[in-house]
Amino acid sequence: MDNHKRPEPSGPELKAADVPRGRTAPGKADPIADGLRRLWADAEAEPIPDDFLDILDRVDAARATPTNSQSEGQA
Amino acid sequence: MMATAERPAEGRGASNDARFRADLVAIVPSLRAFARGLCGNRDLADDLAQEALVKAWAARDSFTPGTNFRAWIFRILRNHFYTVAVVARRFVPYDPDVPAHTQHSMPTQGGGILLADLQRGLSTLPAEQREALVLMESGLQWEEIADVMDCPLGTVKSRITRGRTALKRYMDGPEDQPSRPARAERSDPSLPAT
Repeated sequence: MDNHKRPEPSGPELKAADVPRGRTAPGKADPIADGLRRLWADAEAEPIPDDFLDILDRVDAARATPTNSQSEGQA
Repeated sequence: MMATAERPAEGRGASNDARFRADLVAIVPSLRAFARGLCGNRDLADDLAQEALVKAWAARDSFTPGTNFRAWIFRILRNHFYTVAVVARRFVPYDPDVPAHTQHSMPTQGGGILLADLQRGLSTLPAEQREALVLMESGLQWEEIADVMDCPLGTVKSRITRGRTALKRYMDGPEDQPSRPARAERSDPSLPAT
């Protein structure tokens, strides 16, 4: 009888120690991995300050501003 | 890794910049999360993330479209973190207010832990171990993590193993003290005493 035959695995067997992202073996609780995942997810979910990316505009604006040294040297 | 030779050189600049900037915007949440994991301080983490954005923007011509953008910018951030930590020698201790913002009532049955304790435990680890543990949750594959950390894959796994061992030791607390009820009372009075 083949009623209890396991299905063929589709790929290399995943071991808890070999996979990142807390992909532990099924049924194996890992409070530390769960906690680390939660910390990451909470930080990712935090709202981004409105002016967070303004720094890129300031960098571009600073680079676009012509230097005054050349004009000052021309009397 | 896909070539972009079909696009005229003179027309690539603006469109590439726009696409690159869109990629930067999309990566900001993950960048902040990585920075937070590295230094544990919200303000310092945002400073690190913003500096990484500036560096990435300045170096955008060196990025090869189609390669792993996440690993590339994560590497920029971590290099800047270690530069700041070494040169300025101003590693800021974990922000004591941060656990209050991120605290969740983890299940107490089956070995649940408090996030505040976990964050404090992370702060006790060497930076390399903390970095490895944090990157495990970043979505990167093992080889990419090793690339970001600029070390062999075996070293990454070794740091993770040692970091987890140290974290578990910290979370378990001293053997002669009933740590869990004391932590629960100190950190979250709403949790039932065990």
